[in-house]
Amino acid sequence: MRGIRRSTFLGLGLASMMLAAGTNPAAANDINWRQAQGTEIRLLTLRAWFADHWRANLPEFEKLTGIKVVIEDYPEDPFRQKLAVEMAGKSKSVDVFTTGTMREGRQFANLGWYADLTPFINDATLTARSWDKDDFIASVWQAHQFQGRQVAVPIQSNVQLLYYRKDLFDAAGLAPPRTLEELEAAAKRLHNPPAVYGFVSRGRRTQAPYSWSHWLFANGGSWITPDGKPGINSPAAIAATEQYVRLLRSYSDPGITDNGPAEVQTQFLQGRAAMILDAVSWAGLFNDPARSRVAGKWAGALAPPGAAGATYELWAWSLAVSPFSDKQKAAWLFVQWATSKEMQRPLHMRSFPMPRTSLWTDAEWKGAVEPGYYQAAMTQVQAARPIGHPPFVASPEITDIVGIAINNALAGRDIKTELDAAARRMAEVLERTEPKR
Amino acid sequence: MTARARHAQGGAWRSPAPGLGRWVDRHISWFFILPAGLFLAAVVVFPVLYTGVLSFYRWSGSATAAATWVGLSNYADVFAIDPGFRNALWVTAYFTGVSVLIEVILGVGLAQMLNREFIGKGLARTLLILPIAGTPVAFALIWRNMYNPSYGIFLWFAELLHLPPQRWIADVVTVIPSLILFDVWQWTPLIMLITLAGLVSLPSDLYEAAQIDGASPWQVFWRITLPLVRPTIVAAAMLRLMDSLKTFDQIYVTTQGGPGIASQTLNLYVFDQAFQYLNFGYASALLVVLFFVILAGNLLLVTMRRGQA
Repeated sequence: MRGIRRSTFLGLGLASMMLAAGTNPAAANDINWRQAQGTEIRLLTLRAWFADHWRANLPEFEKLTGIKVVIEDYPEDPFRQKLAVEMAGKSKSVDVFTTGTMREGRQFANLGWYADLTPFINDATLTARSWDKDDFIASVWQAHQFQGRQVAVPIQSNVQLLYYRKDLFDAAGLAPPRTLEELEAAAKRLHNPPAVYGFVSRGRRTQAPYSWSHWLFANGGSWITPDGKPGINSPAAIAATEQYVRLLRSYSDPGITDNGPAEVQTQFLQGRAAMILDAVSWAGLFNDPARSRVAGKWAGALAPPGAAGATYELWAWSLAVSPFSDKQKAAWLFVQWATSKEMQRPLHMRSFPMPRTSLWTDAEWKGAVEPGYYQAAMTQVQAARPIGHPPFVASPEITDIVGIAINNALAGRDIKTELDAAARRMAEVLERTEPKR
Repeated sequence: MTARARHAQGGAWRSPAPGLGRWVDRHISWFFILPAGLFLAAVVVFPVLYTGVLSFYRWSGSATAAATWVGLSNYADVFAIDPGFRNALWVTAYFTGVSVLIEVILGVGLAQMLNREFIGKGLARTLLILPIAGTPVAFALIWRNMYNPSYGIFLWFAELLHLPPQRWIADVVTVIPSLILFDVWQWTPLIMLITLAGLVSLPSDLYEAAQIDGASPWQVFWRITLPLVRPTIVAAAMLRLMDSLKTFDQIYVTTQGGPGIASQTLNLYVFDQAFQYLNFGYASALLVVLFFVILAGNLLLVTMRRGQA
């Protein structure tokens, strides 16, 4: 990814020239950025590349607004624990936090843990025109609306696309798979353990549902039936699970029941996976010759459709404002700054895909990435739906129930028995937690 | 003390209300422990009571709806219908029982070994203590990678010994033994350290007498060392037992309770119920049960210790 690096420097150079000329668009003067100066806000966030990016650029924000930001970041589980305790206690000390609305959006919205951002966005004295709400990709933007409220602003837009080893495919005279059946056939053909596994995916209990949901939807299944019953043991869902489990038990690595994102990534980086279907944001890493043995040897393709057609699942981390905060104005100014085009651009250039159309169509980025990857990612992100997690208040609990069933099936237990049991537990949880309609 | 001293000197200082002064004098010791008592109440007693109260409610931390009183229904669910609880109880007993037993046997053996002079003793002791000195999470990440069935170092060991490749933490059957191995590696040194402290303080005259009587080393260990050092061992085992029943980070980082729920201990299950599912009331009921499980384990050990004495 040498091209990208050079262009990043070029971009930084341009940005600093613009700063020098006093035309920094983030500081567009149609709002008063100093209206909350002297305030201190606290951000509770997942420890990740975005948090590092904000921290590195924080002096610029503090100079622009006179607002001091305390960034507190933790690994995912301690982060969730801390956030839950603070929110359940209606703590005033958290002003901004990161959230995954695909997973917990309905739950948090139902508990009253999100401030409604709509009034801020519509207030011309609080939101700069250059922030440009309409620049956000519609599918991603809308995935952050619950009960008619905008609960968060996305800080990424992730879809799972197919990464395949072009060198291996060429050597075997294979074309990239265009259906899930072709994917299985290609996996069979290229499976040569322990040197290369045909297809590696997430199988760990907490991770499996996200990957598996592509098979579920591509085969015409869904989380819930039209009459409100669990859909995870419908004939379509069982067929989908059979396909997913067969694929992984036959052509994956022996650690399949324990594989999370780190394992899938490692297998591909080390050249031990012929194909993976995973996060679009990994492209930069895969092309980094210092860390990847497959730099330049892979290409991207659309997540293959199944019997019921094409479907793309969306995942995003986002920024939300606490409803219990007394400093929501300052909090919103931070969210606006952190999600501005100028702040998101350097990350997008490193192939951490951002939720803005203008960045996805950026000629410089387009010219720097692998063409198949660009096509697939672009098509998918625009049509993606927030369906990687079940759309219920108790989404985390139901995700886990389904995850246990898939994981047990991957360990060799009977698929139908597992899914039937999971459907029963899911029905109990829905009965207890869904608001009565 | 000062108040009492002044009093004794014949009343250089007069309290505005003599009754109160006398009362303060008589109970002065309570005032000294008051700060510690208040602190304990705030950080220990209150949370425990609050957990107990919460266990009778259904609550998800909602800002819009109040907690619902459900009486004993959380407890009824725990014991009557929850397969997750039964599994967690079994996993906890299996993991804790086996790992603490192995740790005690190995720890006492190692302590016995280190209780004599040999070249490199200091180095050996330092190396043995390393596992307790590190952060559990960092070690857990390392062990997780070592156990990986396609690129972990254990794969190489298995090949070296001509064993068939194992799936370690990725397999329902081998996951708990794998976690026990990790736990034994990390915590045996703790038992060793405590036992060693006990051994060092044993009186030497008994050993001299045994030597004169011509006792074999085995007899000396079995008849003198072990009975004398037993209270120390039981204390060490109790410490390990309490900790082991509450094990969290090691297992969470290596397996997250998987595959399926094959390594989901009670503490992990409580974590999921509380912080992943936000069922705070139900999680509180589980915590109360976990408290009694730990209490029962310790009572058992204490009874054993009394029985021996």
